[in-house]
Amino acid sequence: MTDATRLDLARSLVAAGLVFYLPANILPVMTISITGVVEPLTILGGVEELLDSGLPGVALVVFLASFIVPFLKLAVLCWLLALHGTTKMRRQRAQAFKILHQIGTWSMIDVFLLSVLAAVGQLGMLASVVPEPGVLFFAGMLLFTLFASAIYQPRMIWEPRETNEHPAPPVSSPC
Amino acid sequence: MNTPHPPSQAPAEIVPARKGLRFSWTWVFPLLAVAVTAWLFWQKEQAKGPLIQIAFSEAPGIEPGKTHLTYRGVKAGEVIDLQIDHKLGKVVAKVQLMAFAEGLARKGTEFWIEKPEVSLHGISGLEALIQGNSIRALVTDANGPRADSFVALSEPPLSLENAPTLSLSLEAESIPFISRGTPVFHRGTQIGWIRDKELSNAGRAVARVVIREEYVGVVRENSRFWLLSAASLGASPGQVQLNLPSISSLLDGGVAVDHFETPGPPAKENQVFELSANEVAARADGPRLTIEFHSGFALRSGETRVFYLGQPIGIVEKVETIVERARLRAHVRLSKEAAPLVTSSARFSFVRPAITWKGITGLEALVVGPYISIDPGAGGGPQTDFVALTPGEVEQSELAAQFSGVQVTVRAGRIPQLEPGTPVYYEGMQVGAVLEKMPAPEGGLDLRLGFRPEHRDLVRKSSRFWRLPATKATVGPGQLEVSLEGLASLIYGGLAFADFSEPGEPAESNDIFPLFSSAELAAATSPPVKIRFSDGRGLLAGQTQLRYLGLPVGLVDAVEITPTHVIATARFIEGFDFLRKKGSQFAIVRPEISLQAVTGLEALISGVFISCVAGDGTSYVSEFSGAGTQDEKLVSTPGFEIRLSTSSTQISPGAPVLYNDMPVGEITEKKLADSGNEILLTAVIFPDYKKFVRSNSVFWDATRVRAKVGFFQVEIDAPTLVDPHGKVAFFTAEKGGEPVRQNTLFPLADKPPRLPR
Repeated sequence: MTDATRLDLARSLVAAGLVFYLPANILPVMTISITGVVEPLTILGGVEELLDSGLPGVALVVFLASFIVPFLKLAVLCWLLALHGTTKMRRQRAQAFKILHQIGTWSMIDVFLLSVLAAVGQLGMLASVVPEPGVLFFAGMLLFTLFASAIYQPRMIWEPRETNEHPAPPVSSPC
Repeated sequence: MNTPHPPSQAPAEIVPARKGLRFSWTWVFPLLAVAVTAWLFWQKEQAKGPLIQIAFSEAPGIEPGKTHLTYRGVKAGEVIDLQIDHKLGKVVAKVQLMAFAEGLARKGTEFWIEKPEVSLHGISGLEALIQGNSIRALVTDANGPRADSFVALSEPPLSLENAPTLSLSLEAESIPFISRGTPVFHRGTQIGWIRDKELSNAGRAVARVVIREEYVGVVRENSRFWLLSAASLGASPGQVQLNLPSISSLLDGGVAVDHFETPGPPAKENQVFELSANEVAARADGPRLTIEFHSGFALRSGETRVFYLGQPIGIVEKVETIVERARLRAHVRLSKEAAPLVTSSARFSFVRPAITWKGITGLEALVVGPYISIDPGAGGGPQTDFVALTPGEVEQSELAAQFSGVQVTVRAGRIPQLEPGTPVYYEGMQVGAVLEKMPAPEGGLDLRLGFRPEHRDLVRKSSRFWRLPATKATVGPGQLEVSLEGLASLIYGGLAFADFSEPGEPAESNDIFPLFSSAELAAATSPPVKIRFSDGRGLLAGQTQLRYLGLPVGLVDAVEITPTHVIATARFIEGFDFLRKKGSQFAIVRPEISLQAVTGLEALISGVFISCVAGDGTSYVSEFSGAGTQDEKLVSTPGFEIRLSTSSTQISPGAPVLYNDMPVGEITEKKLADSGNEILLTAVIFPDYKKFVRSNSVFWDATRVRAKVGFFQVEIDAPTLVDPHGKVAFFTAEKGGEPVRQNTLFPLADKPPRLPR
């Protein structure tokens, strides 16, 4: 795969991730019914629900992990791709990419949790958790960003060597 | 790292990328993502139906985004917004219907909030308890025009079927008990509900009824509706029945519907029916009539029923007071089947529990309540206005019906307190009754007696009637008897009759009989004899008996007073006619207490009586001259008289004459001999014992009691309590005596002779 293809693929994947980001946050990701109270929850709705339930810590974690982090991932990827081929902030970009990779390892935790919850939380009329279409978009978005960050090689940050004032730092590929 | 890449490569690739015009296959991903997202949103949009607004007067538990609109258990929409319409004072919920539920947005669709409800008719909306309240919808007109604004019902509708149900209205003056949801029964099956209850413009209570689809055909145009009281207590002879239509109707009753004749065409929508207070009233769809009552205690409109042969056939619909005539007029409606009963000869009466000669009557009215009884009579033309019989008239007509055999008249001289209904007994068994009481043409009173048909042969032309006192006490030596003919006669007394001679021809209707005041009088059938007394003390008409040999044989019928005498008219009972023969003697026996003796003691108890002695004449006479007490002994014991002479004696008249310690006669007279130094006693020996008195008989005074105390003999020479008159004894040797004649004189020794061994 040429670098050009990689770049194109990464860009298109990020674009697709951006497309999915919207329904992932608008559509409910799951429906929790507890003693008959049926509540379709979006991600932000879930956060709000957690806040209302008096769990601000958990709410914060979920908010960060499910809303901010995917958003930041997309944003960072966009930033990386936008600055591709330039020499600006190459060090920071490499740093960000590294963090991106590390966080990316955990990014599917929400989906995993939901699948566990949906499998376990079947208590008939008393309580049940049903995944909603939103989670597919959410997972899709995560997959797109995962693939995008995997396809975009960190070395490509340093690729054009014009006005090369700094030597490229050694980057170990996480893939 | 950088070395393997040729430097020319980068600009070559970057330039087209920078332009962004080169179409790379990689753009499939975002395009796909857009397509999927677009498809999803498009589908979501496609699933949306119209947006409607529902106004609630209150919307508990409704939350935007959470509350669903459920149609027949399926989610058909969602509340997306909730607003308060201050102008209308309502809460307006905006509901996003789903596409398939488009049909709900039609005029006439009913919306309501389903919430858990516990009522007498069951528990509903249980799922709302778990899932929270939801909005429910019911399409009433699937073809109605579109609408997007609705006003919700305040309560759930009774039936979730939007199939063609039947709505009816029931009207009544007042409708107690029933309320929304009260079941409507047809022969025990619930066929519908009361939807609501309100007042009509005319001020009558109106209940609206919904009949379930499958039972629409049950209600006909001529169906009748009536209220089922919560629990009804029915009583009939031998059973008491508690009717509970169902548990749910235990507290608020129910409504029943049925038709009592050939079913008419099916009822029309919104037809108005009359709601009757009970089944009898519902059945009463026949002739209307009015009955006037003298008194209407416990006569209640809508409750008091008309019974015929023990079955209810009608009901009093209204009771009005006619002030000017001091009467009550009951408007009665009978069932159709009862129509033929109402003729001009029909008689109505009001039945209440009462105590009469028959015992306690109208006892059933204690349970079923006072009721109106109808006696259809013999027929006649139609009539609608009646006057009820008074209790007396009722009794008379009942008596006439019961004692429809021969009817005779009894003529009483005095006015006995005998009311219609007084029983007439024959040998202690009631066979008839006094039907009527009326003044006789020539003074006194006529009693019209009726007899049971099966007993008509008991009444003969020779029968004699007498009055039974309410109670009769007979007191005599050795007996105390209180006779009571029965409970009825305790109150009213009664009449009795019997044949004392050969039974005659059967009595015919309208025969007239005399009424005697007692059985004895009635039994005294002989022609009357008149007995003249100079002293009439103690003679009572109808009571003073005539006794022969101590037994009653007749009765004084009447006592009349002439200036010089008292004349008692007496009759003898069958078989003692011989006492009317010439030569019979009559004397009044009164209790006499004298120094010497107490006589006529039995007269103290039984009253003064007339003692009779049969004469030996052959012809009957009708007038006698009676003797007073002083002359009694002259007539009391006819027999063989002898005379005893003694110088002194304590013996007085009445002393027994003993032979071998057996009384065979009595001293009847004690007087001084003509010489004055002897006492002459007259002893009467009963004819049977005459033969013991012979010429060698020895008489002595046996009054003295000898008592032996040690060596001494004590003689007490005085009349004892046992023999107040003393006693005379005699002994006749077996041989040597001659029969003696009347008035033979014997000496009376004062001690017994030494008897030969």
